[in-house]
Amino acid sequence: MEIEMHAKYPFLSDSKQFASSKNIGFSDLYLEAGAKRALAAIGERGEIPKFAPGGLESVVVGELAAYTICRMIVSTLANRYYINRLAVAESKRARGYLDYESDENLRVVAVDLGVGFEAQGPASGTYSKGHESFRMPLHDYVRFCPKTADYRLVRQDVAHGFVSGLKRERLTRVLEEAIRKRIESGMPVRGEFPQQIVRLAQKLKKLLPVQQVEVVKIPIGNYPPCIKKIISDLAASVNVPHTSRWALAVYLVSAGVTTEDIVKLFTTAPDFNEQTTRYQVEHVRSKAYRMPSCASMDSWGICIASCRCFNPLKFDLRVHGRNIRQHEEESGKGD
Amino acid sequence: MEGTLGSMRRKVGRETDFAMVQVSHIEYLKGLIAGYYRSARIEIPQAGSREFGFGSPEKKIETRHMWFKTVQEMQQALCRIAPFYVSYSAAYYEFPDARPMAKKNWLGADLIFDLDAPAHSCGKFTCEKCLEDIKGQTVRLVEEFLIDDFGVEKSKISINFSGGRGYHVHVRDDRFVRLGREERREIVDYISGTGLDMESFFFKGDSQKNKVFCGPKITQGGFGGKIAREIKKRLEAGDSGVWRMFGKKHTQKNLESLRRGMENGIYSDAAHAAEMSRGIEALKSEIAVCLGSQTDVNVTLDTSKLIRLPDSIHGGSGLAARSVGLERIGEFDPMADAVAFNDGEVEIIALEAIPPIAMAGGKIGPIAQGERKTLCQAGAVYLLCKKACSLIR
Repeated sequence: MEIEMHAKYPFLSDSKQFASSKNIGFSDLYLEAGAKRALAAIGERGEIPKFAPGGLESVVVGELAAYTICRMIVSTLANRYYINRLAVAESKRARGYLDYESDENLRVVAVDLGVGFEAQGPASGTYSKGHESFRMPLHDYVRFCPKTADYRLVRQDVAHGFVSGLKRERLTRVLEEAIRKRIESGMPVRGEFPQQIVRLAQKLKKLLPVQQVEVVKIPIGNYPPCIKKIISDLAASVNVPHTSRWALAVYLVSAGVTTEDIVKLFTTAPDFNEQTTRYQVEHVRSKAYRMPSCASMDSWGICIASCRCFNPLKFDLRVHGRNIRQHEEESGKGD
Repeated sequence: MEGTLGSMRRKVGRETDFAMVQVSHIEYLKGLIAGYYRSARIEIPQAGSREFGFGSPEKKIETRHMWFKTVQEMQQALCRIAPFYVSYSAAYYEFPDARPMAKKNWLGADLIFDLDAPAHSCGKFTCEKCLEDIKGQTVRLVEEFLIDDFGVEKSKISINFSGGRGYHVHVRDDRFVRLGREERREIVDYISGTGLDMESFFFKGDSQKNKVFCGPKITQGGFGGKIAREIKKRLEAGDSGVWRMFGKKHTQKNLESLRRGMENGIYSDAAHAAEMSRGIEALKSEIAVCLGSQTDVNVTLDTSKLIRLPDSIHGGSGLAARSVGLERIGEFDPMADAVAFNDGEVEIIALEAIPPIAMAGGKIGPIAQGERKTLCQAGAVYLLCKKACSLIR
C-alpha cells in the first residue's frame, strides 16, 4: 500500500497498524493538528482540509497523529452529535480522494471496509487509471447505499446477486457511506486520555456554536407522525436522508414556519452547514414546492403510520378540525 | 375458548341436544397434536441457536424465550405439551433463552418472507383460488427475485405452507444473515416495487436524427428488464392495451420490428410517450410481488420475529405447516397435502353456516348452522380449529 494512502484513509486497518508502528506521541505539534482537525470537522464549516501530498513520511505520520488525537478529543466531548458530525466530515474528506483513485486503490479501501466490487466493461479514457462502470454484491450495496431515491435498490440494475452499472461516482458515494458508518460505530474511543486531550476538548467546546434545541413555536402536537419522526431524528443527530430533509423543509415552509426557525431545526444534523441549509430552505420557499402525498412519502420510506390523511399537510387540518369540534362540543356549540 | 363456544351454542338454538355435544374438544385436539409430534419429521437448521415459542388457541405465542439444545429435545417437549402453535426465531442468538432481548446477543437472522392471501370475501375459510394465487406470488418471489435477482442458491431457500392463508419463505444465506432492519427494508421495497418510478426507466432519446422513446433492454437486470420482458410477453400474447401503448396494429411484421427495437432499448416514436407512460404504470402490479399488509412486511423487517416452525401444526386450521420443495410447489395442494389428521370419521354439529370446502381430496359442506354431520377427521379438525363446529360424542 502506498504510504500516502495512510494519510488519505487513516481509518483503514493498515493505517492504524502503520501508526502504531511509528509510536506517535502527544507532541505539541500533533496535539495542535488534532485540535485543528476536530474544530474543522465539528465546527461551523464541517470540512476537514486535505493534506499536502508528496509522499513524505513525516507528513503522513502527522496526518495519522492528527486523526487519532482528533478522535480522542471528540470522544471526550461525549456527545453523539459531534461524533456523527466528525464521521460525516471524515467520510467526505476521504471521498475527495476516492474520486481520483485507481481501481486498485479503490479496492484496497473497499476490501478493508468489507465492501466488494468488480469493474465492468473496458477501462475508460477519462479515468486513465481505471474503469467507469462497476458492479457490487447486492448485500454490500444494501448495507451502505445512501438513503436517497436515486440509490434505492428498486432503481438499480439487479441480477445474480449484484447491483450492476454503477458509475464511478456512485461507487465512491457508497464507499463514503461505509466510511461514515465505520467511524461512527468506532466511537466514542474508550480509555483514559492524557490531561492535554481533556483540556483541548474543553477549549474546543467553547469555540463550537451553541446547539439550539427548542425552536419552532408551532405546536408540534399538530405535526403528522412522519414529520415528528424526522424532527426527532434530527434532534438526536441522526444523519437523516436528503429526501426526508427536503420533505421536512417543504412541510414547514407550507405550514408557515420562518426560514430562521427551519434552519434552527437542522442545526443538530451531523453535517449541518448553516449557509447551505439556509440556501436550500430559501430555494424550497422560492420554488413553492407542493407537499408530496402520503403515497410518495411511503414510497420514499418516510411514512411511518397509517394516518389516512392523503397528504401530511392535511393531517394538521384534521387534527385542527377535531380539536375545533371537540372544543365546540365541550362548550355546547356543537349541539 | 369455552366462553366463545358457549355463546355460539346459544346461537345454535335450544332445540339442540347439548348433552350430546362434546365440549372438551381441546383435549381431543391436544391428543391428536401430541400423536402427530411423536412421528413427525421436523428439521431445524441450527436449532440450538434459536428461541422457541408455544401458543394456545387464544394466543399464537403464549410463552417464548425457550431454548432446546437439540431438535429431539424440542420434539419431546412438543409431545408432552402438545401446543396449538409452535414458533421459532428467524434469529440466531448466543443465549436464546436469555431475557431481556438484549441479553440474548443477536448473531444474525434468516431472511423470511410471509405471503398471505388477502382477506376478502372468502372470509375465514380461505378459498382455493386465493390459495392458488398466493402460491403463484410465492413462486414468483422465489424464482424471479430470490434466485434470478439476488443470486440465492436453491439449496438455501426453503418454503413451507403457513398452515393458514399462505406461504413462508426462509432464506438461509450467509450474505444476508447480518443485515439489519433498514437493509431488509431495502430488500422488501425492491420485491414489492415500493418507490418504483416506472417512468424513470424511459426517456426521450435521439437516434439517427429521429427522436425516439428509449427504455430498458430485455436483457437488463432489475425492474428495467422486468418491465421490458413483461411488455414483450404482452405484445406476443396480443394484449390490446399494450399494442395501443405503441400506437400500432398487432401484426407479425410490427411485432418483429418492436422486438428488434426493444432489444436495443428503443420503444416507439416519441409521439406516443404519454400513452407509453400511462400504460407502463399499469403494469407495475404485474411485475412486483404483493407482500401484503404491513404486518407481513414486518415479518421480514423484524430481526427477532418468531415465525411458525415448518412442519408444525397450525392451531387455527389443524393443518401442518408443511415444507414444500420448490420443484413440487406447482402441484402442492394445501387442503390435501397439508392434512395432518385423517383417521376415520367424526360427528360434528355446525356452529355457523359452512360453505363448501375442499378437504383431503374430497369436499366438506355446505353445512347449515346447527346441522349435525359426519365428516372425515381432517374436515372435523379444520372446522373445530376454526371454532365453527363442536364435536358430538
